[in-house]
Amino acid sequence: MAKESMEWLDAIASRAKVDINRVESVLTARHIVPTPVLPAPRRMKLLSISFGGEKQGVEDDGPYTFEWKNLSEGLWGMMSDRNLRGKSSVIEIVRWLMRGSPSSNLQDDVKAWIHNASLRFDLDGFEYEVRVDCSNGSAGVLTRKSSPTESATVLASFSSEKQFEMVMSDFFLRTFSMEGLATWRDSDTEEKTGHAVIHGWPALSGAMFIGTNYDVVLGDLPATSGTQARLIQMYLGVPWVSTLATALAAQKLVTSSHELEARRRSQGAQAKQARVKEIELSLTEKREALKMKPSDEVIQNELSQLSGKYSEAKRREKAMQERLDREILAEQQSNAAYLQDRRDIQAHKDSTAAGSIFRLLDPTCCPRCDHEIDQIKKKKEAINHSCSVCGESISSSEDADILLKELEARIKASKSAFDKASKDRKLAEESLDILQTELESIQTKTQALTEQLGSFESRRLLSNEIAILEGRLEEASFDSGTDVVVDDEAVVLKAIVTETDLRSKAVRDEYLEEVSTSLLRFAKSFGMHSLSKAQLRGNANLMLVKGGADTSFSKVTKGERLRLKVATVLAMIEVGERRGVGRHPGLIMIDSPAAQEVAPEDLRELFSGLMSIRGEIPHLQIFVAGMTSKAMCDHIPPSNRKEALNGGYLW
Amino acid sequence: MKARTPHCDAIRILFILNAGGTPLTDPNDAMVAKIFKGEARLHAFDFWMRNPDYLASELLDTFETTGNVKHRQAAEAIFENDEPDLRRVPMIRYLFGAYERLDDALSLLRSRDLVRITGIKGQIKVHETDFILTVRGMDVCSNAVVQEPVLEWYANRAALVADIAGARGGGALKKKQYEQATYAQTQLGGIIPPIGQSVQRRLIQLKQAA
Repeated sequence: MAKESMEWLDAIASRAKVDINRVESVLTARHIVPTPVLPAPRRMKLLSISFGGEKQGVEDDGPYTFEWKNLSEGLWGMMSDRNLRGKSSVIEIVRWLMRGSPSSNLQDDVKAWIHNASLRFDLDGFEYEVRVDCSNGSAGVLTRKSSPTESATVLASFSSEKQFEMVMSDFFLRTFSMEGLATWRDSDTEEKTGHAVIHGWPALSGAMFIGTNYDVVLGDLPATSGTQARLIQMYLGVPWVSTLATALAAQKLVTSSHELEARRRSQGAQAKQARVKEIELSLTEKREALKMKPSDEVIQNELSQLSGKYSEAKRREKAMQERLDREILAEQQSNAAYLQDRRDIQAHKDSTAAGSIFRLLDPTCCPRCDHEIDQIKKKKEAINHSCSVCGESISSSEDADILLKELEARIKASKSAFDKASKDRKLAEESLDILQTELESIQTKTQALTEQLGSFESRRLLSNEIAILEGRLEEASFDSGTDVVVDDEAVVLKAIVTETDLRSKAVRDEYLEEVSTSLLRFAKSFGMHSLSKAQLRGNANLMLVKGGADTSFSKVTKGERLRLKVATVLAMIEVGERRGVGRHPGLIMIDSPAAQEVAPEDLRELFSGLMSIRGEIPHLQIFVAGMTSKAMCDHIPPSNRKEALNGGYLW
Repeated sequence: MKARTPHCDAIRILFILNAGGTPLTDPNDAMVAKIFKGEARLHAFDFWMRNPDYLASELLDTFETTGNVKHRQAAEAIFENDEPDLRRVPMIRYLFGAYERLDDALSLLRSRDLVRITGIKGQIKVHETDFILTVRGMDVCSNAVVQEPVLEWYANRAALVADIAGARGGGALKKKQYEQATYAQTQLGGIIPPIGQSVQRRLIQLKQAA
């Protein structure tokens, strides 16, 4: 055992790539216990059933007692010629006593009639008795006798229904080397994980009772509980079954919580992504807006440059203005000179003309005294060119011509000087115009930029908003890094499941093959002659070939299902006996259905078959509750019957 | 160089006396042709001859009063020919009007017997000086513009001045000339300033208004 367990641990560790300590810590944390042992079959038979009390509110009310002693191996029958005469109740009371808790099939009023009850049974040669007094709650004891002569040893006592159940459960689980079967129940909603459900002794004990529900091959738990396959493996005695069940449940729990976590994380991630996108969008908008608003610094720089340009232009303008002033002055001066020259030449021309007129006019009198000028003076003037009035020399007109030429030369010079000055002045004016236009343009720009300077406040607000958004973005896109935490538990659990399943499956498949073979044989002996193949699968499905056609347990008639259920239990017991493994104790209680559900022929063939295989499994004890019929009477000896005739009650 | 000569002044005065004189017949003297009354009037005529801008101003005044386009056109012609600059003969303002002693020019005219100076004499001083233009003087006026066409300007201008002065006497004319704002502001003894620019502006306004 230790060796197999060690190999199992090593295999898991190497598969999960972790060390053995880690595997052991997971096993401990998840309460997974290695169960490599093949349990030896136990044999159990009922020795006596008795109960008593007082019926109330029925036609035969009053005190009663029921006692069925000297029970042993073989076929036993509870018969009545009418229904509802207490047959099923006997089975349910046995079941109650074995489980410590009543099944839902035990009617409350019937249970209320029971004041005390006792079940004696033999388990591998030891005699046990469970005795319960219901007059005040459920109080009682479980005792054991090593031999008929010895006095009973109290194994356990109980004083409440709960304690009763715990005592019986603990006793049988230990006796049959069974563990509770953990199964996984998925959650109805996505937001919650499923949970593990432990099916204890009440569920396991179902393998001994065949009721009127034929939905499943073994036991009486509904197929949806997922216990079928494990129940079969448990009763077959397949090793590792409970380990595998526990590991699977733990794996599902871990996977499920991981999935839930992943789902939450994915939803969180999506929300985060949407948030990040939203923030990024408005951040882009704000940044664009900020870009459109030049900073005051930029404006100040530009203004400073403009200011430099302005002073430079202003300086040049001043210089140009000064030059223009000089050019204007020069123009004025040259113009004045030109004008003066023109005036002079005009005056000269006028004077020359006037002079020539006067020269032709000889003076006739003195302008001072008006005396006439005498002829002597006139002659004298003609001879020596001395004035006849004042005696001064008279000049010729040659001077005037020379003067005119001189004046004309001067006027030419002054005109060209004026023209040049004019041209220079115009050039200076044009340059000044250009400079002034430039200055105006600089001023316009400066003014426009100065008006933009007020953007400081709005820029500050925008910058604030951007800073806030950046902070939010950083926060929103922060990855806590929890994703990268390595959780190898799932890996280890998977390795456990795989390794355990491998070990379990190898044995199980072999057993199932043998069980299927036996099952077919028993079913045929129960009259199902058209059945050519039966295959019990690991998932508890029973596949059949009937009359050459493929079918399955759930598709055949109820009579056939009843026989197949019995055949399955018998096959399991037989294989267990043969291989020295298995847990079925060999006690079967069959509550036969009403005639309208199962044909009398089906029952007859079942009883006939049961009788014929008694030799193969001698320790088998089978109780059948049914309507009094020829089949039952034929196969169940009167000593093995409890009969209610003529409409009477069994108790 | 001194371009201005007494001959020129004399010719100008001669044309003024010719244009502004009224025909006179003296049964005792066949040489008498015209009489120009008053020295002040002569000075007033001479002022307009020597200051074309003031004449233009007066022409515009007359145009505004009479609507006679000829006067406006005459003013225009004065500026077109740069006369305020070229024909201006500066004169000293003296006492009650533009005054410059014309003795030299008159001497020239008298010595050739073109002009005779006469007047109404009181016991102590002369009440009015009149100028007689001789037939010879009139002939000189006629011949001068033929001999020296450059002198035609003086003949025409003297005629224009006489036209604008009309029958006004020397006192009235001086008063008128006195009214010229800038003229009135002129410092006593200073040179009468040109008013060409302001008159030219006025001319342009009037032309635009027309």
